[in-house]
Amino acid sequence: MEAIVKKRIKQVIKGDQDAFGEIVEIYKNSVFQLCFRMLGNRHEAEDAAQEAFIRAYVNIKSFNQDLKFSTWLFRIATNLCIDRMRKKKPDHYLDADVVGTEGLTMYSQIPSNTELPEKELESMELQETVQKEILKLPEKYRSAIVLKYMEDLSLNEISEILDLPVGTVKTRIHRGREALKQQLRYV
Amino acid sequence: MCPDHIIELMHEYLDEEIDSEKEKVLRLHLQNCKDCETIFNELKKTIAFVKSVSNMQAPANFTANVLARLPKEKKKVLMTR
Repeated sequence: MEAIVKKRIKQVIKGDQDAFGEIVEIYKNSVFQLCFRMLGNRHEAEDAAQEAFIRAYVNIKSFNQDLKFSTWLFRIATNLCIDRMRKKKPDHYLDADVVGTEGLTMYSQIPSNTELPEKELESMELQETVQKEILKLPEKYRSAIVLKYMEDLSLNEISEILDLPVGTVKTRIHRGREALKQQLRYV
Repeated sequence: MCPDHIIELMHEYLDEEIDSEKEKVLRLHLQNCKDCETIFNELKKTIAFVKSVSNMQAPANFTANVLARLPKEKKKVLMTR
């Protein structure tokens, strides 16, 4: 896979846009999924994913061909999503302290003891529930969890994509898992 | 209350980075502690749920739409944002 991609990259650098189309075909589902899980909206995700590929195209000459292309591409896409999330400026963050409380965060304000009926693992409802809970995660836990479990990447790759030490990535995944567990335990 | 280091071992296990000595400690504890067993099962269930929603497909015409948005002359378009 990487060998084909490297060959295509060389063609793209020579000005072959069709070769870039082949690269997009290979990675479109992963990049779209990454953006959708980060942003939570199909339309925005499509736009962000397209932009990630366009940025990759425009900056292709700065890609170090000794490295893995997917790592570089995921890094562009992740940074773009984080930028967009920050621009949305929500009026509250789930991990922000609730005014007038000590150490109580929005997590503890979300009722988590509402029992939901038994569902099949692949059901739409479960998908929506999981997606909703992922979107409640603070951005730093969300990106780590999405890269780990949706894109199935190694801790080392995630550390390269997020430009963070592996130890920090681990901590974020652990906290993300804990937060999701609280929300999904009664599903 | 169960010791924090057991929770830490659970995460090491889930990261697939636990060594056999620590795994033994974790297993022994889980056999004797219902609370930790529940926590461990909930963590594993959470991961299964999260994994179950992967494999999304990009929208139709995605590639064509990207190609249509590519700058014609690369040098003129540096950063769009």
